[in-house]
Amino acid sequence: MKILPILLFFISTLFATLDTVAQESTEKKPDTTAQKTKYGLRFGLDLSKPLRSVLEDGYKGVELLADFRIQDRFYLAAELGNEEKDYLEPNINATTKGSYFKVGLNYNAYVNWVGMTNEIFTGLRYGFSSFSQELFGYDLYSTNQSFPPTVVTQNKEYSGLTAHWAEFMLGVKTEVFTNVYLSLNLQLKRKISETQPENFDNLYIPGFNRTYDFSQWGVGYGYNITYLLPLFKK
Amino acid sequence: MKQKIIALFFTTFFLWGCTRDDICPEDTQTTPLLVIKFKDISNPTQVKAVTNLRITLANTSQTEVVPARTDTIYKIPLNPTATSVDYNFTKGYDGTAPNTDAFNITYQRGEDIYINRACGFTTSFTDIEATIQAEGSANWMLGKSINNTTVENEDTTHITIFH
Repeated sequence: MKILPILLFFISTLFATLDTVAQESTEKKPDTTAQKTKYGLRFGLDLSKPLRSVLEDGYKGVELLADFRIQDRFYLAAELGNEEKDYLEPNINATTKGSYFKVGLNYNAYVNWVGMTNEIFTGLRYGFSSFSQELFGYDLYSTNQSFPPTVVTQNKEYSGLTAHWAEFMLGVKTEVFTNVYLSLNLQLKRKISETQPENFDNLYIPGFNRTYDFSQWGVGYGYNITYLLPLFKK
Repeated sequence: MKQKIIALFFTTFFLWGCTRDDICPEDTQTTPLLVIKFKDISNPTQVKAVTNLRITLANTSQTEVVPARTDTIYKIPLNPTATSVDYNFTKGYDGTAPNTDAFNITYQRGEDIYINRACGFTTSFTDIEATIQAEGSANWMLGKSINNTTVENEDTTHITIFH
């Protein structure tokens, strides 16, 4: 839907990084006009999740996030979220709900012009999710059509499920108003471990998103608005 | 250049969309069929083909399950929502003297087992029992033996019929 502008944005940011790298190598003279930049706690929420909750049937989600600048280029970052996702396919009818948190670091690779605090960043996260699944019903899969399909309805809950994953993040952050930032990121996740429900599978993991039968990888995205609470300048 | 990169991105996303998860592969063992093997009554170790055997459900519409063919092994489905199925085995179908024998199978349904996202669930059958309805000299199926009372896959013969 809005994938084209997103892609264009990313591709141009890739070129932007190349430019900055080139500049960096030539600019090695001592900087006499050292500029102080803002440090502080930045917090906000993922706008894409409430928007998706409104637009998409069978999805509800919210994510709060915060980061704290600990060094010139490094930020401590964390996300906390809750999601509910239905899986309504002809042969399986289930829903997943649960909470997750992610903690890690962001590295800002972008060298700003004086007075600006934008970012092109990469991030690493450790993700943990605690969730439950409910299986409402299923069809017995048969290659033979002689009998009408066998529909089994039940209400079986698989609770106390957990999953751990590692996540790589690539994103951009722009200060749109004073201390208000809009940020877009893409996430690549690798499952480390999960509790396997007995005689069923984790079709969706909150925070990790949908799972694949033959792969441990997952993908995601975020569109965040955050407010910076400036604490000091350095 | 830019267009090429965009095209590459789109292709990648498109291909990501079609994963193995969406289609249940044909070679996956889903709900198994009952395997019947036909053998010679006068030489019980020898398989013997049945000429033009057509298998139908013994319901009012005579639903065709196996179209007429000459073979030694036939696979027929069991109904997971019932515990008994009545079949009609017609030998020499479309010939001058077709002969129909009624064949009943009773069973219990085993546990439903999760396979994967695309295939969903499968089941198995246990306590297989079979009866050939006696018609005296009109029977062409003369004897049966149960080789496997549990139907979990289609790799083994479950019932042998002698004729």
